[in-house]
Amino acid sequence: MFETTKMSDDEFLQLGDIIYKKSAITLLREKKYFMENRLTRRLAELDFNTFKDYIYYIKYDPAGESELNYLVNATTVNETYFFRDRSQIDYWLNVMLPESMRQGKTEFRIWSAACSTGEEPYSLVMLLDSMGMYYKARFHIVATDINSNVVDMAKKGEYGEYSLKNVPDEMLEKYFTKNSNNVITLSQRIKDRVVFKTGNLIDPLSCERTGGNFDVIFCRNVLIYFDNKAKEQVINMFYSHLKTSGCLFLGYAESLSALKHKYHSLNFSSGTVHIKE
Amino acid sequence: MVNITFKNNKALIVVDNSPTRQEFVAARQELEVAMGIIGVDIDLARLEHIKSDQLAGFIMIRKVANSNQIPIVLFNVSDNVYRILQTSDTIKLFTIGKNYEHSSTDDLIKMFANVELADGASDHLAKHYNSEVRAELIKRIAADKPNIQACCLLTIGKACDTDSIDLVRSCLDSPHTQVTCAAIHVLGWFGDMESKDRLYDFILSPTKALAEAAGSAVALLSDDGDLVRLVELASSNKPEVRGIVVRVLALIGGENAFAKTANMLALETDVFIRKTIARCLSRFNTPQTVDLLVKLLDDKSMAVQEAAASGLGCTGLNGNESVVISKIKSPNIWVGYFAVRALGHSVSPETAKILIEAYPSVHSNIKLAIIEVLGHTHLPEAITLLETQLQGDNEDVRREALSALYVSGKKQTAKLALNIAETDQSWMVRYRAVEIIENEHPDGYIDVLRRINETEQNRFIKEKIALVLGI
Ligand SMILES: C[S@@+](CC[C@H](N)C(=O)[O-])C[C@H]1O[C@@H](n2cnc3c(N)ncnc32)[C@H](O)[C@@H]1O
Repeated sequence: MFETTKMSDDEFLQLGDIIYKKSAITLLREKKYFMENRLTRRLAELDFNTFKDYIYYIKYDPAGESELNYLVNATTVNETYFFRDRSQIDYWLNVMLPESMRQGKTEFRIWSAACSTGEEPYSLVMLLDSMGMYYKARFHIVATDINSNVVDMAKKGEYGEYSLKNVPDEMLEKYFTKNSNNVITLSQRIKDRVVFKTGNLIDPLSCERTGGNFDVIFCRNVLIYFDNKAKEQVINMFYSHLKTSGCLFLGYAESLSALKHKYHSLNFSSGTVHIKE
Repeated sequence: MVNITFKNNKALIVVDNSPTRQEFVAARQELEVAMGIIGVDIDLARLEHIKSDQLAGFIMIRKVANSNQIPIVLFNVSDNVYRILQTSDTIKLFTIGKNYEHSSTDDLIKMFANVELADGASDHLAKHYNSEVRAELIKRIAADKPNIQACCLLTIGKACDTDSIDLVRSCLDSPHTQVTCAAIHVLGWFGDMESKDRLYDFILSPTKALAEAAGSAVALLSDDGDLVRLVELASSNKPEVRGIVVRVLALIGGENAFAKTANMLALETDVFIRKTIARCLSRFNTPQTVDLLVKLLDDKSMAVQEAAASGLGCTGLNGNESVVISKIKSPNIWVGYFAVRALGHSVSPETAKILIEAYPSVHSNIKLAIIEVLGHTHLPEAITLLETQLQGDNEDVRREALSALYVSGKKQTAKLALNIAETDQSWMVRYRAVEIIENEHPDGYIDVLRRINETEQNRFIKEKIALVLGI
């Protein structure tokens, strides 16, 4: 029942600015059409005729802050799947973790920063579980994302074909159940191992709420959406939330080159890990 | 993998995940020896991510194309890959296109799962509809996930494949709302009168999406008989149904539908539906519409007043300026805002003076609306106010004031813009200033833009300056 409301270039830039200030996400120009489509219905629900009205509503109405959360939720790209960029998780599990345990460490704090619908932290838990690691050490996994919708979905733990495409059959069998409606749900035992929270990587207070003091941080396929200024802010925030010798894994295509930072970067066969020395 | 093929004097290079340097080298060699090539298309639909060192491969291909002056276009670039091209500054080297031509029917249907590609892929299939496409879509409707099924149905609809009408009708019984909604829309597009009764049943559905879809379809199928039927539904005790009826009447339009809507308004007590009616009224292009909306500016409910004021922004005021201006200090900041916006671009000097007087004491959003209106007045007092607003703290106010001044005097404002583009704290304001400079080319603009370009950090402004200076 809705025709698409047209967004002027100027309005697109303004919306982009609002989203950037809240989340550091930089909108590509190519997204205009997509945003028009996604937000037209929202405008109609709020009884606005133009995007200008909507922008002023976000900026000047007392309800604007919660609308801004809606807007950010509508903007984020949440694509993820189990065992994505697995070699990084494997490197930590098979090389770094055993080394720390040999040195007598028995407790680990892990942060999946920008976890989307939870596939990343749950992949880690399944691997730790299948290696029997929960008998040998304690793992506290915190997972956060700015998008409250995906955090709710992560807590629910129901997944579709795309998310599960890389899950080996034996793990599917061991950790997932399919109900009569063909919904595939992760076992409660695995879900209980992750604490999910909404959290904004560029909001220092929100990052404090993770409790900090991490051994490992996974922040993958997020920084590509940020500009260098925000990237720098985030990786330095991670630095302050890592223990000494703690490490940071970024996405396959993300690097720290061109950013000011204090990490020592170590290349391994299929990736790079950034270590706080 | 990097796979190169040649067709119609064009090279098509398909790059899968993890392309290697050797594969790029092999593709380059084939391209070098190929004769009479007029274009190179690189299809990245299957490339999910890319490391910066793999970019060298693309640059290698580009070099060959460039030295032979052959245009090179990257198609189906995913968000991830696009951003890597952008961060590595290689994006400038390529033209980015959206082209579904190189994708198979199967690949295009796979794109239905990606909200950003789905529409384009569906449009493409509809445009190149044939029996093979049809068979594949029908197969997916029987077996795929609901979102894919829905896209398949919509594609059949866009292709006007009325031979598939029975299949579409059968999808009205799908257990998935998305699929049923798509079927409803398509039957509306097909003009399927036989399904009208079923569609009316859906208007009563408790599922909002179904009821709304059915409303749009009924509007498309409507004839005189439908007004009677809709009026019957308008007495439903369910407000949701009455809400849909109002929307359908507005879509049907015309004097008769307007009269029915006005009747509904007279009887309606539910505030939410009154608001929906106020909102929909502006869609009727009848002489009585404005009068009714103006009356609603005094409705008991602020929500209704707000919708009426917003509606007046679409219909125009028809001489009711003074009533509307009396709402500018309404306790609801949106009534005031929409009232000012409804004044449009031609206000009387008296009204302009009232706005100028009210300006200091109104809420920020109303200030912004006033600034916009004042830009069209050319009154000296208005221009003075706008000029002082260029010094304000609020970046939106400064940007709007600059835009309004530009409307009132292009050349003078372009001179001001030179300074603003260099000094304003807000990139949004600086950007607007550069736009004005781009349009007006005030004296000395090239030097100023060159200077700005050296220090400016904002990528949008830098892009714009590059465009203006041709660098
Ligand atoms: C592409 S997903 C990546 C998910 C997962 N890490 C992976 O690699 O598969 C990117 C996620 O980043 C989140 N995100 C974007 N900006 C954020 C911010 N400022 N703070 C926290 N999360 C953010 C989005 O909501 C989205 O879920």
